[in-house]
This record gives sequence, structure tokens and C-alpha cells, in this order.
Amino acid sequence: MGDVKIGLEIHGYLNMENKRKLFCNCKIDSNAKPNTNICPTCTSQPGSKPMLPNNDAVEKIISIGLMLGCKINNLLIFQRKHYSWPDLPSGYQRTMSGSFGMPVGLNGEFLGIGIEEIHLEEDPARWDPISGKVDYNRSGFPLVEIVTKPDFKSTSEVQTWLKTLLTTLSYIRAVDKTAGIKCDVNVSIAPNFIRTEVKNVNSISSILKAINFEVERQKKEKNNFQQTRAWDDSIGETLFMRSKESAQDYMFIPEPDLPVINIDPLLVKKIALMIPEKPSEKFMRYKKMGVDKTDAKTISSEIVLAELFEEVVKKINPVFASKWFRRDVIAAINNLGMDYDDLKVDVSNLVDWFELLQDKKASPVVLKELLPKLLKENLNIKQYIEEQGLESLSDMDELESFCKEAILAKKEAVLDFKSGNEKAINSIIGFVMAKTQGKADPNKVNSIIKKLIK
Amino acid sequence: MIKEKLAQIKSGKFTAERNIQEFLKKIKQEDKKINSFLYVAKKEALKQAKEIDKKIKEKKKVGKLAGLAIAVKSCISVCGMPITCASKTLENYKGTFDADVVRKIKAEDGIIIGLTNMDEFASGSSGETSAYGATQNPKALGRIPGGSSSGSAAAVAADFCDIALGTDTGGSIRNPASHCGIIGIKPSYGRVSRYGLVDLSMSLDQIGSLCKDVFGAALMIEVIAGKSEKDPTTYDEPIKNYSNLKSEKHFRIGISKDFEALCTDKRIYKLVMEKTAELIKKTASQIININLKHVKLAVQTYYPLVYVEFFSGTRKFDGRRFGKKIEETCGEEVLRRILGGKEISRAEYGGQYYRKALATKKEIAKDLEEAFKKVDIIISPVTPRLPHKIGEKISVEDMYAYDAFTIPANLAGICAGVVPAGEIDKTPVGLQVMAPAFKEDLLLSVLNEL
Repeated sequence: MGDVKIGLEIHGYLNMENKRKLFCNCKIDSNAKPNTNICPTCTSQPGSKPMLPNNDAVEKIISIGLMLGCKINNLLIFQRKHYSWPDLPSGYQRTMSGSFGMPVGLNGEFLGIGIEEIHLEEDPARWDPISGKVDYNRSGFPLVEIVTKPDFKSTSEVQTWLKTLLTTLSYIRAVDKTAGIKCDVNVSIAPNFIRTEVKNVNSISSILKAINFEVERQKKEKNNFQQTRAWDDSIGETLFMRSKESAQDYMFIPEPDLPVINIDPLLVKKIALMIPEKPSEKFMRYKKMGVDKTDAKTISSEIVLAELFEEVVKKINPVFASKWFRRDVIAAINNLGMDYDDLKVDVSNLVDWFELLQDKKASPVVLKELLPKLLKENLNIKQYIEEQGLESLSDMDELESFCKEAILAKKEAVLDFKSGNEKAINSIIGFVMAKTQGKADPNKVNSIIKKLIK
Repeated sequence: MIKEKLAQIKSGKFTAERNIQEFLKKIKQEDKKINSFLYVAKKEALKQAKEIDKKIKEKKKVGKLAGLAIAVKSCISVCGMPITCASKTLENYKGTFDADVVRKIKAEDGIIIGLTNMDEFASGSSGETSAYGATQNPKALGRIPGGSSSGSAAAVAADFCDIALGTDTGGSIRNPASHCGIIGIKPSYGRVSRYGLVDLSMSLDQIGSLCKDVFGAALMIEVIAGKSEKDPTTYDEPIKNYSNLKSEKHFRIGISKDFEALCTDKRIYKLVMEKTAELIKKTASQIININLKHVKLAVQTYYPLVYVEFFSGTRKFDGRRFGKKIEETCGEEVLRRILGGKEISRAEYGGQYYRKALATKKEIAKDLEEAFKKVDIIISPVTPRLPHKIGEKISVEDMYAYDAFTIPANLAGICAGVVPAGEIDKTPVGLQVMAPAFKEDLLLSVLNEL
């Protein structure tokens, strides 16, 4: 791709535990009927004032800052960013960005990419340009903006980084995954690195397309100049918006209706203690335990899985656990169509399941069959196995008599096996498994049959 | 007297309904001449008065303002009433919610009798910038009543109500109180919730009271003061029983030569000093000279702040939702402030003017803070000159200079009040008392002694 510099401004909706807007107590509900979750403040009625910023949002933004290695400022200062648009009821947006802004987090670094700043701002309303109608339900939703340094050198780097960022943010449940992200992308190429900012790119695939388009455009353009362009997804091109000279002046002033808020260093410490290990750190740790690379990657990609896995390996060998975890546990969850966040399984039951498996107390066939029930209905697996008499057949004499019966019944397979077809033994084992309703250990059966045939 | 009237209403000797009816009659007969009300809430007020009288008859508990007629400045939101800010911009706009102060007044059985005239969007010191005509000074007909709470002061002075609410950003309560010969209180910044007050300058605006006696003004502050979660600039300072006025003595009174220098009409300064001498005698107080070297910069510091914040606060009046586009419908002074504020807010000027003004604001606040280490209160004139005649052309600079003595209290966030000092040329002249932030109790007891 040549010598390219790429920077991102990523906007996401904060995932609010208390479901309240940033500066008022109105509910956050993206599915509500238009203009039902509104008040004088979020519709900016004459005389209305903002309330103090939602604590939940402040804590979330601090945790994002910490997760991305930022220095956390000790003050919260909001600015008014003025512009006139039908979706903006007060004629300004409250934000921490701007010429005299004080972002929450500064100078971070995440996977080799510098984080310029992280700040909080309010979302405008939703305006439909065709009907002219404005829905203020969204007005005042808390948004996070993450601004990177122009440290990316290729689209593939951007892609991997963004995906990891989203996984990492999902670890602290800071961003509303269902609402998606919006990006502004800045791109410049050698030798002059004249910066173009591309607005409104709303998915990872569009981001990559926009970057590629910009690099090509800038290569072709003889008199390239600093400018702002808009991404048009339908035609896959960036379109000229304005030059640097006609850049909009937002006339930032400090928000006089809000006091400067001190961030208690103790709060930051408290949040820091609750910040989980990053996915990349978990991945490395799992690998050190001897877990296979693919297994480690899959398990660390979801905080819920990682947390379950870490409980399991307190009692179970990690290498053994990881294989079954990735192939069987995750597959079972996916087959159930469950969201990881909705998983309510009691981890002790899952640990029991692994123990039964590791100690061969019950056969894998039986255990695999019971796994969905365990995950969905929180089955007490040990008790169930006992009550239903589903323990492994451990009596060698009994097993041997089943095997003898199978050898008699599967004469052809026995002959096949003897003449060198190793696979033929499977149908003999299958016979035993069927007879024992899966309770036999297939490995044991295998060795008994081999011994008997020889 | 408010205290006596309240006792009569509460005891049933006088009724809230009669109180309201008498005021309504007087307003109907005389306000054509004074032009102090923009809206008279006849139906609502009478209905509420009857309800209060019923409660009294049934011996139910009534609030602190039971049956009193309260006039509200037209920039304070009252649900369902025309909140015009005396501007054509909001000609057809009705309040969609009750301001915190209005909610509190209603909860204490105060009766909103109407909405008063004012300088358009509180931008003025004379009452003449109202889009609905100037207000007369009831105590000096032909002269301005002062502003921007012109209608509120005039309504009190003309006996159209018991107590009025005004707003004070640089003197808008104290200036008209002085010109109309009544009491006016500007509480400390953050003492009273601004939720529901249409913005002039958010970092300076404060709602306060106007009344003929100190008790009434104090009672109103007692009702409206307090922290509100809807205005995060309010403070959680304890509210005292301000209306329980105690006789106090031995004040250390600060006087500054810097104020004398700014007083263009020296007769005013002399009168204020005479009145101060009376207070000293009565309360065995002493005078201490103080140095306020930055107060001469108060007006120059104030206007960039007001312009910038007013520009920002009026961006919602873009014609899309509330009334009309402000730049196309407002008067000259409002437009001057919007355009000036826009210019100052631009990126290239933001640091040079607005932030410098903020820095000077701090210096002035520091001057006063230092002074209050040596003195309990500071006394000064309210305005440097007598109110001019309505329609008389005066320069923008002269108009702005009206507030030279009142602006410092806003910049410092302290509380201040005005009492009548006497008359010059048959025109009332007030005296200003300034007290440290959240010392409203001290302020009110001094005003009570004057």
C-alpha cells in the first residue's frame, strides 16, 4: 500500500447499566415510540439546564480510558460545540472535545497504536430529512469518542486492531454492541502526508473500503490539499465536503451550566481494580498454560467464555479443558442459539461436567448429550448421572462380555479387521456402545476387542 | 406590610381572594399608564386564591406565602403562561414547565398574579428595550424604572403585587429597585436554582426578590433558595430562616474610594454616605476603608462574558421550534450582544477576550474576598447616576455604566441587596449592601437596620 498514515475517531454508544441519558433522567430505549422518553432538558426547552453527568457514564468512560492505557484526568470539563442543525435542539452539543477541552483519558496506547484522547459527549436527536420530523428520544444518549494517533500503516492493521478493540471493550461491557460504531477516518500518503478526514464511515468493511479509495484518490490527485470528505456507502466513494480554509468554527466555550467536576482519584483506583485482564493478556496466559493457540484465541475472544474457562481450569488440566471447551462447550452454546451474556449456567456444574469427563466417571458420549441441558437448565450433572445410572461401565468382566457378544454379531467386521482394515473395528465398538447405551468407554472397548480378536 | 397581611390571611380576617381582587382592580385601572405587566393571570390567580381560602377555612396547613400575590419576570418559566422575555421572538411561546422557583412558590401557596415587563431577554438597564413598550417609573413618572427587571420593580412600587421575582445578571434587580425606591435582593450565585430561567449569562444570572419591605423580600429568598438537582450550579449550603430578622449590631462596614470615583452624580454618593452614617450610629458600627482596585474593570469584564454566553444561550431560538429566528425579530441591543458574542466566541478570539474576561473576573472576586477578611459588609451606591427620562438618547457606554456598582457582586458570586436611601430631584435613590457568598442572613439583617 506504500507509505500511508491512518488515524481513527471512533464513536460508540455507552452501554448504560442504569439506562439513563447523560444529562437528564430520561430513559434510554432505542425501541420506544418517537418522543416518549423526553423532558425539558433533552429537548432544550427555554430555561432548562443540564443535570450533572450520569455517574454510570463517567465510570464507563474512565474504565474505557484505563482499558486503553490512558492517563485519566482529574477534572471533567464539558464544552459547548455550536452548530445549527435540525437534530440539535439547543444549537450546541455538550462534549469534552474542542479547543479548550479536557478529555477524560489522554495519551494511551493499545496494541501499538497511540490513543490521542477519549471523551464523552451527548448524542443529538434523530432527524428525518424527508418528513422533517425530529425524534428527541435519542437526544442526550451518552457517546464515547476514541481518537487514535495516525499510527496505522495499512488497512489490515486497521481491521485487526478494530476487531480487537471491540472485543476488549466488550470485556468491560462499556459499549452498546447492538448500536454499532461510527468512524471518522483520516488518511494521508507519502511524501507530503496531506491529511484528508473522511466522515461517517459506519462499519469495519466500509472503513477499509474508504481507506483504499482515499489512498488511490490521493495518489492520482495532482493538487491534493487538506480537506474533509464524506463516505458514500452506496457508490463506495468519498465525496468532497470542505477545505481546511472553510473549516467550520464551532465557537467552543466551557459549558457555564455545569460546574467543573473533580474525579475522585479513589474512584479511578476502584475502577482500575475492576478492570479485567485484556483479551491479549488472557491469550498469552492461556498459551503459557499449554493451551493450543486456536483454543486460546477463541476462548479469550469472549469475556463470558474466558471467565467460565478460568473457573474450570482451577480444577481441570488446562490443555484437556481447553480442547473440550472450544469444541464442545462453545458449540453447544451456539447450537442453543444463546447469547453469551444470557448464559446463566452455574459454573460449579460445568466444573463437575469436566471432572466426570476427566476422571472417566461417565462416558463422553453421555456427557456430550447432556451438555445442552446443563447449559440451558443449569443441570446438576453429578446428581443426574447418579440418579439415572449413567455412570461409565467400569466392571471389566461385564465389558468383556459385551465385547464378546459384539465379536459374534459382527463376524464380517472381525474378518475385515484381521485382513488389515483397521477402520473395521469401529463398527464392532459401535455395537458395544449401542448395547451399553453409551455408558462404555470407547477406548477401553477398543483395547478389549483388540485383545480378544488377537 | 407583608408580615401583617400574611397573619391576617392565615387567620381568616383577610382573604387571599380579596387580596388578589384588589390587586387585579388596581392593575386594571393603573397599569395602562405604568405598563408593568405583560400578562395578568386573572383566572388562574383567583382560582388558586379560592383554594387557599378554603384550606384556611378548613383549618388545614397553608404555606409560607399563603395568599400573597407574586409577580414573575417574563423570563422565568411558568407552565402554560406566555414566557416572552419581552421579545417578539417568543411572542407566541408558552412555558412548558414550571421553573424550580415557581414550583416552590406554588408549593408555599404563593399566587402568581402575572408576568412582568422587562428589557428584552434581560438585555438592558432601563426597561426600554422591551418589545412591548417601556415601563414607567411609578415613583418618578417620565423616568425609566431601571432594568432589566423593570416591570417587577414597577409592579411592587405601584402596589400591583406583594412580592415580585426578578433576575439579576449585572444589577437587573438592584438597579430598578433603587430607581423605584424599594427593596431588591440578589442572592449569591448558586443559592437559587436557575432551572426554568431563560438564559442571559448562565455563569452570572441569579433569581431574586423585590418587595416594599425587607421581611417580604427575605421570605421570598427563604422559599426559593436551595440546591436543586436540575441546576448543578446550585450549592448545598444551609438555608436559614431569612425572614426571622434579628436586630444585630457592631458591623464592620467596608467603604471604597474606588466606588466614589465611579459615581458620576456626586449627590448620590453623598446621600448614600449620610444613610450609612445613620446606620453606624444606630448599630454602633465602624467604617473601614477597603481597596478594590479592579472594580473599575467590572463593566469591561462583564460584557464579553455576557455577550458570549448570551450568544450561546440564544442558539436554540433558530426559528425551528421556539418562536421565530431571534436575529430576525429581536431589538437592537439583543442583536448587538448576539453578534458581539458570536465574534468573541470565534476560535481566533476565544482565548483573547472571553478567557481574559474570565481571568479578570477572578481578580475582582479576589479583591472582594480580601476585603471580606477585614469587613462584614460593603456599602456602595447602586447606580452612578439618576434614572434618565424615558426616550432620552444615551450612549451604549453610558447605558452600560449604570451597572458599574452592581456588576462586581455578580462577578464575585456574592450576595447583595438594595434599600432606599432617600430622594434626589424627587427620584428615589438606593443604597447597596454587599455581603460574602451565602451570608444572606447577614445581608438581610443589615438591610433591616437601614
